[in-house]
Amino acid sequence: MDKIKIKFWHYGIVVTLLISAILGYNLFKGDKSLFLAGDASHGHYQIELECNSCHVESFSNDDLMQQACEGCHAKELDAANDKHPKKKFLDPRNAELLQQLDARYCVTCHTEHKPEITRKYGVTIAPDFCFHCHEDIAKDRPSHAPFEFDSCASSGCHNYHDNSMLYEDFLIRHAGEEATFEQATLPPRTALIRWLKKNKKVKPLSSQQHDGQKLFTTNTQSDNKGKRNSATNKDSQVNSIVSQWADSPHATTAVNCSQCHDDNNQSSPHLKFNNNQLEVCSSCHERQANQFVLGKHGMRQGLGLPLMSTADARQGIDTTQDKLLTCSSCHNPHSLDVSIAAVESCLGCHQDEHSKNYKSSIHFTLWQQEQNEELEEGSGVTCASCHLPRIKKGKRVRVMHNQNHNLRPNSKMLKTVCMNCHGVEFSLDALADEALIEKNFSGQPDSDLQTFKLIEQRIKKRQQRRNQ
Amino acid sequence: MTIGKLIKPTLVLAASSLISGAAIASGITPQKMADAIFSVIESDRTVYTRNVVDRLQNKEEVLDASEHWKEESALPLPAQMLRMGSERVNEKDSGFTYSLLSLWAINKQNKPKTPLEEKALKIIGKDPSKNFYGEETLAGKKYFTAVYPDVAVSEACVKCHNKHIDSPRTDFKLNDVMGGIAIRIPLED
Repeated sequence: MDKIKIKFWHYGIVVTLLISAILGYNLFKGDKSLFLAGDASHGHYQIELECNSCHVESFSNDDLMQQACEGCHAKELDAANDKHPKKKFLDPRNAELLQQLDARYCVTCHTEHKPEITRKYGVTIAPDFCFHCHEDIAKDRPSHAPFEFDSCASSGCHNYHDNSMLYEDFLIRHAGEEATFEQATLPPRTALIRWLKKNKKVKPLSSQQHDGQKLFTTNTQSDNKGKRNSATNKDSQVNSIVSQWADSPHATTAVNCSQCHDDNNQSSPHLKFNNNQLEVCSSCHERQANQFVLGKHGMRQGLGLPLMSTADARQGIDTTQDKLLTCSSCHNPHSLDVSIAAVESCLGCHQDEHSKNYKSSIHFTLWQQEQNEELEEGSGVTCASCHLPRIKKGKRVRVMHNQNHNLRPNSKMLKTVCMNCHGVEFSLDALADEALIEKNFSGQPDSDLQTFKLIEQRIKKRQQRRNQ
Repeated sequence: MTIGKLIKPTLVLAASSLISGAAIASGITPQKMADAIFSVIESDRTVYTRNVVDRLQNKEEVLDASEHWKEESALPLPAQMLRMGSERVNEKDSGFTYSLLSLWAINKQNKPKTPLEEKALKIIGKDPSKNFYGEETLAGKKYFTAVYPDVAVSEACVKCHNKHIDSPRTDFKLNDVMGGIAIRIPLED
């Protein structure tokens, strides 16, 4: 038999097949990471391996991608009264402008997988983009003649989408306010009070009334397999959980163990819905759960992906211990102690400069004094006070559970956070001072914002017009 | 998109708003279609201005109308109401678009942008008894454009436009032409 001669092209076929197999495995069975065109922006990297959440299908066109953007962002933009919505640009009288800058599509300004040109808020076009349509602004507003076009959106005056806190009437109404008010407190939360008012007949449960007896038996059997736990240990564990629960709002509102736990679920922590915690909590706290999945903490869960973990985090996170992010990462489900959720839960993971400097800030001192009952409730400022703000609508005060909601842009913090205690000018200066933000607001804002100089001119012009 | 395709949705609009019950002759001209649409826009806006804004803000004094209606829990201004409707129509790709324009616009985006808009606003400003009809090409696409005079229907219009800090004209009177409503119908695909 003739010996088969291995030729160069045979090697070629083998190498090609090998590469195809690796790529094919990565695409269909693996994490698709070999197909990433470049790192996704800070807003999307957590879901970058779920290609379809943005690309919808292979080779999708701009319209399909646009639908994907709107699927996650449309509601928020609408709520913020987006100043440049797509619908404004569909009028043919704007057709020529669109040839300069196609404002109908998000990707015109926010191109993904381009880390080298991606700036704040995922913007990838040159910072003087306002020029394309507002070239002759100085004709209408001579006061704007000295400003460069790359300063419109970076000077604390304008944002492309969300100007909900930067409109003139609002700034004029609050102009001249003192830096810090004498009466400086956050509004008290109203959810529990309102619930109790509505449900006067419901009686709070005592520690003897818990219905988790069977659960504790199951718990010890399955959790402590092979371990010899003394009866005393088990009792103290049970007692601790029961006493935490008995002092919590859950017991006050007659929410018993069985409302969250399922005796028949053999795997720890024996929750309903196959231990899907978000689903368990959202059966009562739907609003909070819906907000949670819109923020960076919960966006993976919102798309049905595995939970976000500290190991996957990019910026300023303690990655030495792998923690998963879901409701109980911040809220102890038995004690429901919100004072822990408001500070220690955050600092357990966040180790960036801003977070590390919190405990040396005046905001933290006030919080300690409030905890020691030296100051009235609402006087302290925690991580949650700013990032999970108490939003007042009518008589209700609810906690926003999308911690990214007021960060893009941060002027969204003015009304619901800063201006509970500080005047608008001081607040706006502070929010524009990045060095001060890093110091966690220890010190005074050092800013040369022109906003209020222009506002003074406008106030004068308004008075003249009224007196005409 | 051909005129034939455009007429279909328009017939529904025209039938419900103008000539309900009557037999509709085939071949409605772009001008008739624009006139019918204008009649709906103008009626809705007048009703909103008189029965909602003027009544609640000026007569009953229970609610204010504000440019920042969303942030201030107030009523949208009539001009904003019209623009919101027009943006909704844009989103639906309805076969026509409309906009509120003025030579003295408070929001500078509503100043005339095309030569036809400029010419039309000047003509209807001088003689509000006639509408302006013409054709224009925008970004390579041909349109039938009708511009209708927009008259100050209530004191609220006059007062706000004369006192607004960004209003370039401050001597409007009731029934003055303050601007125009432009309706555009594409004439080809």
